[in-house]
Amino acid sequence: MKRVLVCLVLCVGVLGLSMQTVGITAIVEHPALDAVRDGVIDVLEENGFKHGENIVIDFQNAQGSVSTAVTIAKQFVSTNVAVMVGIATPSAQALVNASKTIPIVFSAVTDPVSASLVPAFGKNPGNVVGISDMTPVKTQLQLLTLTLPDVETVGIIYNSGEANSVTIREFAKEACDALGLKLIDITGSTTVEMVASLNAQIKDVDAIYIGTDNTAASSIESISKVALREKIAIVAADIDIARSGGLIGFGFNYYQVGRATGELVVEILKGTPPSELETKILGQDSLILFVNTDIADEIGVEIPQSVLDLANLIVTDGVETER
Amino acid sequence: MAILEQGLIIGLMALGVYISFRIVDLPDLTTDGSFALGAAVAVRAVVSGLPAWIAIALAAGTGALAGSITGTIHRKLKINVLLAGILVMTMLYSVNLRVMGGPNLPVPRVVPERATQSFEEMSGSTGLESLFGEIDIDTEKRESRTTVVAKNIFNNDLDGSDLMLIILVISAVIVVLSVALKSDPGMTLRAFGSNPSGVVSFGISQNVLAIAGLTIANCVIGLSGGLFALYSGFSDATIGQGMVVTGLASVIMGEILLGRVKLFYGLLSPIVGGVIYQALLSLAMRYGYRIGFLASDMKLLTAVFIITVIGLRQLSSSGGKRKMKQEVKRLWSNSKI
Repeated sequence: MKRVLVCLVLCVGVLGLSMQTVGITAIVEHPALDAVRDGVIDVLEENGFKHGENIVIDFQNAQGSVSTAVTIAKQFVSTNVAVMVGIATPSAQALVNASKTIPIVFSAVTDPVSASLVPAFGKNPGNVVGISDMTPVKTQLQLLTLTLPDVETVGIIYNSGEANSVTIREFAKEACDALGLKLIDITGSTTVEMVASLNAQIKDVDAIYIGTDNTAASSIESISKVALREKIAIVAADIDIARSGGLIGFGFNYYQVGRATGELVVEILKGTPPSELETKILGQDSLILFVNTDIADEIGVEIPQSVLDLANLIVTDGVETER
Repeated sequence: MAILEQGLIIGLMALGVYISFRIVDLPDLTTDGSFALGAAVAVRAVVSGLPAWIAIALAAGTGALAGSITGTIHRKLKINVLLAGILVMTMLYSVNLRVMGGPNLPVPRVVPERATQSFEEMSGSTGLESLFGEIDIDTEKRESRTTVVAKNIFNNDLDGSDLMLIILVISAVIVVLSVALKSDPGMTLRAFGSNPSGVVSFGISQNVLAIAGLTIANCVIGLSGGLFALYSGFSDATIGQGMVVTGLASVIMGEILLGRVKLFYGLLSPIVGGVIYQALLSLAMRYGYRIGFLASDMKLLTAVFIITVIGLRQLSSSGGKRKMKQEVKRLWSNSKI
């Protein structure tokens, strides 16, 4: 056993000497977070950093366990990786706590300031930089009001155990107050709880808003079934959520978040220190407006021509067309 | 070094599991909740400006409270101890969110210059402004939650000072526990574990003993939760997930290595088990992919490990070794999870 251990340590040691390692860790396996990882890896490859050729990409998933996330972070630090990438809040926090010197790029964290990762957006001293998946909440709710002028009460579906979703809920509350809408919380910490709360509260809401919530993303098939039955529209911040039964989606997809993250990693591998890079959100160019006219017909809603004119993706008769 | 540090903290949690599962023989599932409660309370206390030592003491105290509630529900309301534990664990999920004021609370390590703004404020444009002539709105500015950096007792420099600190806390816990368990009430508690009806002759109520056992167990678990959160630099709603199984695996690992031994070593064994478990976990994650092992297989593997060890001991009892037989019998009767 001991001999095997020594051999393994040596192998890794030799690998580590010859090639730089990029350590990527995510808190949980989830289509959105996996898309972020794929985005990072693709951008690295496009820039000539290929796993096994000139760098080693070490991806470790914490499987939802914070203590595993901490183990992974310490492991990256002790093997002295060149850059660490933390996907989602707990994984990013574990990395940031584990090293003050190794460059850290966080991704898919909505509010990195509240998570104590960086003091503010933009350039910061220190070893931490990253991409926030902050989504245009206000605009999404404005789209909702524009398309559904009769709506008075909006139900926001989220898991109050997800840091990102709680931040988005704060922004949604502000926007709803300003728009004169009443916001009702429909929460659940699991898929089952979430659908149960939705069934209990669906009669009280005129429309449903979904942010970038992971639990809601996992429950979207059930959520949209209930909503369609009651002829209630869903407006979503995540295009992939919107694709599964949403009327309108406005935001970006997580693959793009990953690509933006990958660009930061490439800069760091090329020698730029994190303190010279900016912590930022995705740009306006990455935003996608998705409209499903089939659902509009089914629930008896007419989508304003002005919205259709600006849409990038339109679903009609079951076919999605890009414009 | 990092594995040792983390293994020791997890081992401390396993010690709590050992107290409930082995010493007082009550399979308590409050663990996931009381660990997270300790974590939430400790970080909340540090954020409010209390010194770390008080934060950890508060974590232990609230953990103990959670344990006593499980005990009370179990004994006074006659609810099965497994169910009582699950109920308290479920309640604690909500409590923890309240304590943290949200799902995630970091030990502030940077002073926020300004709070995160909305996408629209940061990017200036979404390209859809032309649509909203009439319903254009202005939203208020948010304020950041903290203004000062909290001082953490852990520096994460891997220079040994964190390790010393953890060892200090664990030694204190073990000394206190071994003294307490050797005292008369402590002896009664242990006797209660091996023969619940036997202690009636001592004149101490079984209710009191069961509640006391669960209180002590969750006090230790809360303490380790508090330590872990400060060590990790944050607390999260999901921080306690899977702790009871990790704890059990560590307890069993300790028993394999040290055997079922006298009190003092008995208290040490879950801690040794925790370190070994953490090391194996780390190895499996690091090199497991070479044999097609995924991190997601870890939970299956841990559960299979626990079942295999208990099962092997049970099977080998038919081999004829008397000592082994007794051992297995005791273990088996202890592991009616």
